[in-house]
Amino acid sequence: MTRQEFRELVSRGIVILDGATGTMLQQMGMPSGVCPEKWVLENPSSIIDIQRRYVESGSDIIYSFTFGANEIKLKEFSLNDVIGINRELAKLSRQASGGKALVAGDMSPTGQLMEPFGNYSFEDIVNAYKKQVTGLLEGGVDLFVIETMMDIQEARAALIAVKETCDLPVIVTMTFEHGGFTINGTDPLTALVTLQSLGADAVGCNCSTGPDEMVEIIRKLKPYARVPLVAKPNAGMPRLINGKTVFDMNPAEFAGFTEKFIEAGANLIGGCCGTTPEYISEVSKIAKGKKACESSHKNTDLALSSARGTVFIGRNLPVCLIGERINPTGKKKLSEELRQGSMDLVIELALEQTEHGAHVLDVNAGVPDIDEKETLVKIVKTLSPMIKAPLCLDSSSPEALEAALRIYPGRALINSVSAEKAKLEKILPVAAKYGAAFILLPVDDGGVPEKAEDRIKIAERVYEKASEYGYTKSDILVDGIVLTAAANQKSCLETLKVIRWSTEEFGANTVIGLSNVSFGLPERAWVNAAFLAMAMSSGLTSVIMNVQSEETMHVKRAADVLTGKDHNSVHYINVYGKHNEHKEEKERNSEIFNCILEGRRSEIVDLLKRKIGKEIPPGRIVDEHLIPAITRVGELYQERTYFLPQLIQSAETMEAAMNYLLPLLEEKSGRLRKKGKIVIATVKGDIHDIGKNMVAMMLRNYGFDVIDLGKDVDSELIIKTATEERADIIGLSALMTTTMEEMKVVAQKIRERNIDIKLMIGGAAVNEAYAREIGAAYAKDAYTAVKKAEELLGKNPVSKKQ
Amino acid sequence: MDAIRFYRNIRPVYNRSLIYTRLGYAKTNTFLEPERKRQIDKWITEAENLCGVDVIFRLVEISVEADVIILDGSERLVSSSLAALLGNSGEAVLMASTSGFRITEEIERLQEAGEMARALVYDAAASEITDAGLDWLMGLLRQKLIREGRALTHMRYSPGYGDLTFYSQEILYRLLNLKEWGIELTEKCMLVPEKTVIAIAGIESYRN
Repeated sequence: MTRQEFRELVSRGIVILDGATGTMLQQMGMPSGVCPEKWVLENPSSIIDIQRRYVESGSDIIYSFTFGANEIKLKEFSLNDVIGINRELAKLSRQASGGKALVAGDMSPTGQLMEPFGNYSFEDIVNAYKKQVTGLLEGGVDLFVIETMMDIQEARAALIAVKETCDLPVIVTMTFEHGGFTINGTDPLTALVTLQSLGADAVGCNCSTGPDEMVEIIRKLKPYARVPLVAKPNAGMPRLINGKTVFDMNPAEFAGFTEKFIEAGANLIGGCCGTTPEYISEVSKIAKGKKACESSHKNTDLALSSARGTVFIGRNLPVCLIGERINPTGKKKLSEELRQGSMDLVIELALEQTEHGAHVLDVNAGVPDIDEKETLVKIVKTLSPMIKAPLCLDSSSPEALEAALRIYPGRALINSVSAEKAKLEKILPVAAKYGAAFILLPVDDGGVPEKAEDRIKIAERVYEKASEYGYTKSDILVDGIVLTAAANQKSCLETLKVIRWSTEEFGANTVIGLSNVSFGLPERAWVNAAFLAMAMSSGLTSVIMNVQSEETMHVKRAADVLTGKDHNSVHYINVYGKHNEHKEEKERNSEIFNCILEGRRSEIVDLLKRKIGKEIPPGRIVDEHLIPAITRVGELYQERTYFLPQLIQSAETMEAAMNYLLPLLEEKSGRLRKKGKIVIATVKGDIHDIGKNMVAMMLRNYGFDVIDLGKDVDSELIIKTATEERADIIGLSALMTTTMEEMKVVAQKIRERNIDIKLMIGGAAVNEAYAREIGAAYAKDAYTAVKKAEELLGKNPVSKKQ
Repeated sequence: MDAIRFYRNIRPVYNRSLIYTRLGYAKTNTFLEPERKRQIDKWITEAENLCGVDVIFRLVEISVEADVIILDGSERLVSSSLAALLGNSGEAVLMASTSGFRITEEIERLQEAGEMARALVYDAAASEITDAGLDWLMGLLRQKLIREGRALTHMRYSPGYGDLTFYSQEILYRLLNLKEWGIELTEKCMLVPEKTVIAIAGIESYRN
């Protein structure tokens, strides 16, 4: 079957797939623990019988019984004849079909993880699948189906294996957990974008869920699908009834979802676990002769994906930010690190940029004297598992691009394809093979045309060539080409003309490399920001820039509002709106107060240095700024306006301030007098002390003298220290039920020895009731510990033992 | 008894908002400035990169008699709530997830350096990510089992939950041979490295 014939088949109407096979074989006596494929070869009538029944029930396509017949799975049963097993099983399905249904060569997960999580390389998995493909082809399959995939990278490997072996159509279906993600975090839309761009002829989902959840997945995918969609749900959810696993939908209930699938846009419908020929028969009766509904709002935005997310670029969306900083050009430190093979700075730059709002990351490994291919692959391998943002592979080396695209677990963007002969002939086919989107750079072997008209002619030429590979205008970004304003001011207007042309006439998305425009000028951020605003008003949809430039980002967000891309200014208000809610309070406060309030520890000492002497004496800083500020922080925490990290950041800042001020304060002023002395420890046997450390810091901040004995502390040492130090309170922490009993030991010793000291306890395993039981006060968190300590010693106490 | 199996250095999907919840974030009340949000998110990502999550698991045959669960024919766990959960299971999966020493050492270092807020965020993130390791494993097993007409129980149990005593950690630790993985169990049944969690879930099957 050719891919065109497959498209025609689907366009004629709903295609009916088969249902479950494995569970039916178990019911027919296949014992547990055997290799199912081997058992079927030994009992061929079983599969022929089941598959004939599926054909009679209306299945247009049946799956060969080769679910676990890849090299890696068969090896678990010490079976080595991968090609032979697949060939013979495919032949059985052909026999069962009797020419009345197509046979799809079924491939499924290897059960192994790939690098960096497992021991198998990407190529190991591709090669394992290729052997299976070869066997299935020998057995005469009409098409392939890659099903129940949990890992998008493994699905890619299987798809590449088929496509590099033959030209038959390929269906790929993923399986999603409840909540709509694969166990590795790929959502259905991301899977669709990745797989359809890589060349799958149909994409969808099977197993995992019942039809109710799957209908919604199909409905959400439809606007973005360029290929037919597949739905092969379970017969509801498995339940254990009278010791048997049964699925909670009968054939009629299951088939009741058929119309919904058709309306949601499913083109191929079948069943997975729990379904039988009866289920498929019911579905077939409803679906045969009908056509899947098309989405009324087909999405034509450019889609890029990583393993865990999709980014769209389009005229009605906020401008897409492509972070420019992972590029060694002119950067000594990054160049040196890449030369040494270190990825530390690459990771740091990637994290910084995504945290500052980059949607896509440009990565460039073009350092003289290094192996660009090896380095680019290393960058992709490093960033792919940790960064959700898709990557823009920035290279003019076809070899480096091919190696990186092959292992990139999503749909990447290539920077760039131009009309230069070498690029057009070598990079474009590589991009097309892996379905990458690309930046169309309108230059040719003659260099960068000065005039927009000439750039446009080149862009049209490159696009025409790309169309031959199946590219559409939704797959490319036209680069306006930004030249340096300092060298040629008129060139900026030419760039804008190209953007306007692409937006208004050509109909493709656009991009610029922003930073070039300001090269050689002082205060570059202003020039960049101004040009970005101009480009956005001309229709720009994406920009390669430094997302850590505040000036540019402010202007970008504002321009998104003014060009209507930020609908209802939601994003703008999210970023800036809440500032105003607290602005008034901040304006009333002093700089020192705000510094504590906002937990800016790194700034507080310099601020104090500036203020002390000139403006305010140290004592007044404590009384009028620091204490009111930390008190306000406590209030904000209590009303849950602040959460724990904010409370602790303020406490850290307060601590830094007090450490600086203490030597400057006079003892006689009385400000150094403490509220009380507390011996604090994590009890014997308990090795978790982060909670206790938070409490100790908070108590110090609020004026208590704290002696911290650390963790795993013997009760005798706690009692001895508290007695010798004449402490007012013993504070104990325990995380586990196995260690909290030590608190009781300390409490007993205090009572038995008649020591005049209060006991306060806290920790994950402890509660109010337990505290009462052992005669202690209970503090549920670090702030409550402060309040409880004050309460135990009287309001705003001064230690009686001082 | 089934062999001990494992997956190393996985990157489980975790819910960032659950880390915020662990830290006391209240969706309707808490106000977090964008800059500070960015910083906390950055710390979470840093913590994620310091967590080298390994999951170790083994299937064991079980039988349940009243509130006693007998593992592998000999080891006994006593818990009425766990017995209720495993009542329909003839097999159970014992599992552990550990984020390794690198993250705990870094949390320790940060505390010593006085960076308590960062340590706190790392700590909460590492707890969530370690737990997510078990979610990941259960997701994987669920997918495999469903095709065999079997299912995992809807939830898992860790020592310390319900009436399953924390001391039962020792039995699961031993059955999973976690010592081989460099994981220590203290006298009080605490696991070292700290970001390690052990659990048990049932496998329900018509073959029971």
